[in-house]
Amino acid sequence: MFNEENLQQLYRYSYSLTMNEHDAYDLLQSSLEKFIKLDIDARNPIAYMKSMIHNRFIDECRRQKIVQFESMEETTLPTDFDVQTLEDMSVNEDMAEKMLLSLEPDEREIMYCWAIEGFSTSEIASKLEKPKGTILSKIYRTRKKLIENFSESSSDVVEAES
Amino acid sequence: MSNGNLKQVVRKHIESRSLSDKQLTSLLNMQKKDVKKVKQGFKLPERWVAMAAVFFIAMGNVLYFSLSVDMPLEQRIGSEVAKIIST
Repeated sequence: MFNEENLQQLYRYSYSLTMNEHDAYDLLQSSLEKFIKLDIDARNPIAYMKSMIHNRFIDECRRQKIVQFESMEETTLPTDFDVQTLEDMSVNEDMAEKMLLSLEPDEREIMYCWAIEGFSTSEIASKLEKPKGTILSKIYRTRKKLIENFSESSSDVVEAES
Repeated sequence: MSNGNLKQVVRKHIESRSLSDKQLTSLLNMQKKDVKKVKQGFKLPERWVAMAAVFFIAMGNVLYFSLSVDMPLEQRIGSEVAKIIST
């Protein structure tokens, strides 16, 4: 079913959601158990497992009431705004963990899709089954949050935006 | 303290995380165990159920015909079938 490489990939995905190594392993293990029990003959088992991990994580967050649900109102974005605008940002490597912890799980998932999977905005929207506008709003808010708290050239970027 | 492009920094941080050998072995073993369970759980009962069904049908017929020797043919095999046989 899943070889070592697949399991490592799934573990990193779990980690990007939980930001905790122990929780990431628990999440992966319980999802794998369910996958085996259901005996699903999925065309793309890795993608299927990722969606199982995602759903399980959301369920767990809802159960523990640790996710703050944001309104789905879309922010007014600059016309040329895209996920690639995140590329311009320069951040301190030592702040990586703190920076990712400051983001909401859904924002981290977008970061994972963009940085690890190399997806474009449309691909992220399709993978997460959400409208492109919603994904762009989230990217915009993520970028703003990161600029305000972590970017080395924050003042320049914020000024350029306003 | 070094600075880097956001994409590279995020990538580097997430990719630096990996399962330990113990965790990896545990997950791989979990898959092997369950594959065996699935194979045994689904193939054996079907075969045994089919064999038991054939056995009980055969034994039921033998028992019925051995106990109904003294009965008239109409009662033994049914009046409609007896009519067809007699004609």
